[in-house]
Amino acid sequence: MLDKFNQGWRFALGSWRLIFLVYFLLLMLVLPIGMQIYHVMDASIGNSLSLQTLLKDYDHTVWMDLLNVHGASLSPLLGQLRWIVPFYLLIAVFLQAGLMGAVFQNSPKWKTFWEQGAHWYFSFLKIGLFFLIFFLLGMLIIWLPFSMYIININEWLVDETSLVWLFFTTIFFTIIFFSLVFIWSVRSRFFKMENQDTGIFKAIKMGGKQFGKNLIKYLFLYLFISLPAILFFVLYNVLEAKWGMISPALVWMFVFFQQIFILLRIGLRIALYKAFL
Amino acid sequence: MLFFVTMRQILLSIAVWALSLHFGFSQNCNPVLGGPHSPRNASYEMDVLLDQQQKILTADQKITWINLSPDTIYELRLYMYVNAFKNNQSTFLKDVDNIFGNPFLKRKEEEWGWIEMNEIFKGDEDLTSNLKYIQPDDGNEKDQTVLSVPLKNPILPGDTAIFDGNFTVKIPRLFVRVGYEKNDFYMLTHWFPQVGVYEKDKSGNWGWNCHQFFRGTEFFSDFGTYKVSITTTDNLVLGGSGCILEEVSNGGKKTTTFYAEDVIDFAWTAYPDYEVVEDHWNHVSIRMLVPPEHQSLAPRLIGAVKNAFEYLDKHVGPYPYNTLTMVDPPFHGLRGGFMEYPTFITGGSFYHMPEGIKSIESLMVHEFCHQYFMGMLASNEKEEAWLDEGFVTFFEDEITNTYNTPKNSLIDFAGLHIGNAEMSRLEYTGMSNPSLGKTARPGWEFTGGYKPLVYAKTGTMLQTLRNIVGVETFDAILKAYFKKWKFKHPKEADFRAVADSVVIAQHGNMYGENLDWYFDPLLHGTEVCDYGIVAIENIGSLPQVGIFDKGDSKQFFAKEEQEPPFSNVIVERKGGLIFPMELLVTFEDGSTKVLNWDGKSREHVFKIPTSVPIRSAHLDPKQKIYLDLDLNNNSLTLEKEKSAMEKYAAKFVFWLQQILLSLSWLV
Repeated sequence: MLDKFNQGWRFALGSWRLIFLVYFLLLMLVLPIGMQIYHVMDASIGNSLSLQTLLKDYDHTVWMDLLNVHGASLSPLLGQLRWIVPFYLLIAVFLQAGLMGAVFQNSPKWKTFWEQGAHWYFSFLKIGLFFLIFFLLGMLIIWLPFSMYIININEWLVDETSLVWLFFTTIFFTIIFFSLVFIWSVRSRFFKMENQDTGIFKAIKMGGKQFGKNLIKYLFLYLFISLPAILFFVLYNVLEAKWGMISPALVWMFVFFQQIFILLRIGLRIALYKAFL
Repeated sequence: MLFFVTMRQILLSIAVWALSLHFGFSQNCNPVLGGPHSPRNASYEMDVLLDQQQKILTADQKITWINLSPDTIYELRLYMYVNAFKNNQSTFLKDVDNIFGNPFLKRKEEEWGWIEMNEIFKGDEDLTSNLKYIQPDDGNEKDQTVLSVPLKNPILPGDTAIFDGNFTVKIPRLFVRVGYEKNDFYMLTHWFPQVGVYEKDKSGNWGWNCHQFFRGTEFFSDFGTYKVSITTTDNLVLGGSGCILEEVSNGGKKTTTFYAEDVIDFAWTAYPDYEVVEDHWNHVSIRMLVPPEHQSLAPRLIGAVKNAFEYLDKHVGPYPYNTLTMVDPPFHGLRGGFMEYPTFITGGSFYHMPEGIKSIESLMVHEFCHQYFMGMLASNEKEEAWLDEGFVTFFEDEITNTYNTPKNSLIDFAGLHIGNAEMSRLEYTGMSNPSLGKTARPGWEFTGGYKPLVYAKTGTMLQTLRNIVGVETFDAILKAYFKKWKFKHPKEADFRAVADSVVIAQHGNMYGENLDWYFDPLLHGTEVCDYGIVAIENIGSLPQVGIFDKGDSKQFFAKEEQEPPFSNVIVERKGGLIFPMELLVTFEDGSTKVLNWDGKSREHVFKIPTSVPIRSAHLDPKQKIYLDLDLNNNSLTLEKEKSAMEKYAAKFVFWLQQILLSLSWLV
């Protein structure tokens, strides 16, 4: 397992070009919305001294006055998310296919990425759809008790302690289920790559079998490779709470940290793929 | 001798202990300091039996009523508010299918409730046969929330009349405020026949003020004493207005007697699982009833109420009662929460509520403030709700802001800071139409915007008034108002007369002959306040150019810097409300200047002689006029703070990247 762990990290470090490529594509998708946010703020309260307050800290009055008066300018931006999310999911299938193809070929090059992405796109789209539906069904089942509890809360709730614990338990199972589905999905795709003529459902079935046989190993790899992201995220929030984005220099410093974190997350994804191969 | 005394004390203690096993004295019941504080013209004695199986109360009732008017009274009027929950044709439930989100159309028979006066006597006169439900407000004949009791012998001015009777209440399952819930939870408010108020109206005529039960209104009654004995099974823990006079257990039953003085109402609760937490503030015994799962929150809630005691004692007047019962209902009884009754308040909390979410404390403080505004300053909440809910909102904001920091007094959790006062202001300014209607009007006339206008706008109005006249003057107004009108029924004119006299006494005519200019448009108008800065123009020196007369000839010249340099700050009044305004101007060299404007014209140009360009201008920099709908446009700078916009745009991008990356794990 340690070997797998090391292999994952080494390959991710060597794949810096792929990391930047995926990062760049993601950034190109979200940056226009960020720029529009900037421009709406500029046009609405750009000349107000309220911005000095906002730089120091969150200020509910400034934000709410902004939304009350200029909310109509901001709501279309949030509306754009309705199509950006599904659009990104379609692109993400290509990105996963490209990254996994590069991992499978042991070739962290742009050319491999594009070729593999194009080659496996439709197969992975089908597998992705299967797991998306599977995940949604799973969510339905996991959240059903909680939903039933909420709907009939007045009929049989004695006190809310059980509700609170049920909620946290449901969250816990959601995370576990999400992790299991993710690992199973990756294993299924690798099985498809290893056995090109295999059908989608067989790949899913065999992926599941392989995952089941090495359940503990995969879960530990998943946990250990994800751990740096969690630690970085905690560190980031601690630092931001301590220092704050309260001056131009600190703003850019934390923006830099934010983008480093995004790069790290993409790198960790590649490391995971390599470790799961 | 010492030994003898000690022995006597020990024997006495044993005797008291033995008696307490039977009688269970909980405390020395003396409900109020000194007194009487009020006319005590409507007093009640009730012996109540609670049938927990049938959810039925049966009670003997004795009403002692004094006619304080110059009129001869031929009819008594009683509130019978439980009848609001008899069917959905009552004025309270008519034309809706839910009450505050609680649907009721599918309720079973046993979940509805009613109250009925079985018999009523005045001395030997049986008045029962003439009882008649009346509908003085809306003529809805199916509404039975006001009962008329025609008298065979009238009550002369100054006379005392005693009515003996008995009534039955079928307790409804909780709609709101009053009712039962599973596990023997009971909240009994507006639960007994209560006399309305015979008073002089605005036009000077005497008559009954006894309104039907509307959804948004509740309180108006006279002061009196209450002695209420309640018999239940002995597993129930009870709490009520006033103090516990005695508690007698007998064969699985328990009779608890409450006694209250100088109060306008009596409410009580019962639940087997209540834990009792006792504390005190100065002379006041605090008794908190809390379900076990909320017990860890009790110190927070009691602490917040102690702050309120301290603040109101200092800024309004002393709390004369010796008791306060705080109730934190269990989750399934939450519809009985968030209410105020004399010396009895109900809140609402949630298991392990994080400390940074301070709404539970704010709500309890809000309900406590009603002890003053409703409990003692017993204004007509049905007709002039702003006089209690608005004042209470103001003091809730002030108290929580004083004992926290103003920007986090409501929420200080996960990087989110929200203050109580700013939340109140935003509740009003964030209305889709802040000009929806007048604030000062009866509760039943509101079709929308009741809370934002009555609570939030009034709270913000008082905040603004305090900012304008100063803290000392404002405190003096409130103290004078309390001193003059406590244990009475003040109206709008009474508060305004006090405010006028204090402001005149302290400031002369600085704010005009009275405060009508302030109160009239805010309480009886619908205009809003919105001032803003349009532009800063650093003009500098203007040359004299053109053709000028010189003697008989016309001469052209263009001279540089013939006029002293100046800058303009252009401000505007977008709303209809008018307030005096301050303008703080900051120059490039860091110096500042404060200018004044009467705020009347729609647009005003401040022409400021200066050779140093203006960097920024801030209208109402101390945010005195807190009613302003948009505080962001009150300032303008020529040096944009781009970093703030970059910060939030970057944060948005960062979170969007995170979300998309996480979602892509699924495909």
